[in-house]
Amino acid sequence: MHRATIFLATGLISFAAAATELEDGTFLFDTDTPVPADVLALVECGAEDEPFATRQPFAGGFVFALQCPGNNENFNQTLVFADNAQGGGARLLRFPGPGKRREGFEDVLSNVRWYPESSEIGEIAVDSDPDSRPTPNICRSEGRWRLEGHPPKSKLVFWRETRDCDGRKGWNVVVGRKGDSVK
Amino acid sequence: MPEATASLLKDYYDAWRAQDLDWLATYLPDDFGHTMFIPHAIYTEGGELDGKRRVMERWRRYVPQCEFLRYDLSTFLVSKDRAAVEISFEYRHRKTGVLLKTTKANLWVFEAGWPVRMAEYYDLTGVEALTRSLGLAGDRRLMSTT
Repeated sequence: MHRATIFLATGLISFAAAATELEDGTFLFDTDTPVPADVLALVECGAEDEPFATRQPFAGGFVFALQCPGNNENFNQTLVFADNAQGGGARLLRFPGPGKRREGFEDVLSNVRWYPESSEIGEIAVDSDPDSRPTPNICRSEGRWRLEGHPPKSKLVFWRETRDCDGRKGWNVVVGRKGDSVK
Repeated sequence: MPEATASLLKDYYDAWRAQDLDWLATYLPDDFGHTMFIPHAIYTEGGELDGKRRVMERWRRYVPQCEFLRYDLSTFLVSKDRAAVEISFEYRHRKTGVLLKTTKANLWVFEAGWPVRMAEYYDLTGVEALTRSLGLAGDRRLMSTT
């Protein structure tokens, strides 16, 4: 069994109070309010001209999350940090893995999870096709990075991986505490 | 106007919960496009479809076979012509009792007030058990992630 997870920020607004912004400040861009050009200019993942994109307060600034080309198992996004909501001081965030595990696609995260309290961002990535895996024999991996400093840089604080596409067994913790996970 | 977009989606999801596809079809334009991001090996009919008729046909092949036990919107983010919805749901195959309990995200694009495209990303845990019950699972040897 294969597993992919979903990406959206946690939050709910009622239909009656529908708006572009969640209670946590997450904002959904549209044609009337497009992604700032300074942010869009940094994107390297082959995103569409008007990608699905959100912005949320994070790590003392704002993180723009823009949809990248994905696949049938992962929703992929690239993240840009900016000092303000208008995209001032925008810089592309990169998320290195342990060793060379994320080499070549450090600017893209799959199925992003957000941890605003600790300024951490998580990823759950699945690849059930042995021929396309970045790491042979690994079907599922979880990573978590903390944004540190200003301008922030992402520091890998947790990484685990398994051959089990469902993630139920066989985990090998490469970075961080055993028993930890990305939820 | 996010309110108009939200109102239409509320009706759409009410129709889906009620498993009333004729009602649901009234909210979709003829050129509606729908993409289900699911590997072919798990669901043979996944992928992109253009045209309401074809989309409705796909839904008619599995919706009546399932009982929708729960369908909760956990995140609902809407703007004038975009919407992102995260859904936690539970379906049961009527014939075998196989249960699917998972989440998915719907990304909507609107034009002139109409929903013209919707993409669905699934947490695939448990999906294959249901599609096998439905006779809609694919061949593992053809597994592809693209």
